[in-house]
Amino acid sequence: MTARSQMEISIEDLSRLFAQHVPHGQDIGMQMDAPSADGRTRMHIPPQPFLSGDASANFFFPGVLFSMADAACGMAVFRALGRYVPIATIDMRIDHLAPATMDADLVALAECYRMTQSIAFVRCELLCGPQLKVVSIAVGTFMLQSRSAKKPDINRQDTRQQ
Amino acid sequence: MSSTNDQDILDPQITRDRVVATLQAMPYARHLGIRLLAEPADSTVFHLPFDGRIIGNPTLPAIHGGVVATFMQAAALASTYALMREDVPPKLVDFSIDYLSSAGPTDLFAKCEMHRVGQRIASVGIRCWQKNSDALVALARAHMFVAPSASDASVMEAF
Repeated sequence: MTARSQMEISIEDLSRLFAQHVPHGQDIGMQMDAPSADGRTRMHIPPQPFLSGDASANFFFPGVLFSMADAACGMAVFRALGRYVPIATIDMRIDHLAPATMDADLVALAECYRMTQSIAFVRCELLCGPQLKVVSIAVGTFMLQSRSAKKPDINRQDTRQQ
Repeated sequence: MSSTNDQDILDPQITRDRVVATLQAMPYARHLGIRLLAEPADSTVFHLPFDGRIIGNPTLPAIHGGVVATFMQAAALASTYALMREDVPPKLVDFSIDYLSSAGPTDLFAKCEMHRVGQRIASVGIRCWQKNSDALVALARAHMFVAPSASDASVMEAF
């Protein structure tokens, strides 16, 4: 997969893309990080009281975890493709193994584990607390929009485009 | 005294008041401005007024999928809590969403259907739409844990 890693969209480009173009990400303080040691797409959200789901602000609202899982999975698709294309979430499921405590940054580690010509399969772990415990797991699928699939010149080494 | 029986005897106005109180008690739902639609007064339709900060794709533009999910989760949590006799907030165990179309820059609406409310688990279906309630933006299903658990403050104190 040397060809793919050489074409990979840079983390700087992704961060810029994300920071400048996603108002919701700015609103809740989502930030792109460098990929994790095992190559997964990493993002984080610092805790803020308005992001909580309980009056005493002990836990993140589950939707905040969902937003970051969705965003991190989308970024993982861009990285796997090596370029930016319009994508749409088809479906996503999240399991909450434990409440997400607000005593440290909430971290997302996402990967695209299978890519076809039109569909990307993604999964994401959400970690929190000082020990970075896995609290939620999200699994989903994205559709790669047909508009981008008709541009074989951009990604010629990928034979599936022909 | 099963929760299912409670559901049958609850007055619509009491349910509405409890739903509103639950939404107010969730800081992030309050931040987004999730509310209950005033009409029809005998039903519980949730409403998220559009705001520029909930955009996820400025090119289309479209509301962020995470906000749509959050809105539906808050609706499911509030609808479930409104049926609980005990003062134990329901906890989201899992949530599964199908996106049927992208959500444009207008208000979102949602309605919940309680598929089953048991002693420990509630299964809730949520529909979300924008201008036309027949053209769904997303369809979701949530499972809530509705019995006291170790992460409740009251239960923690007991240990």
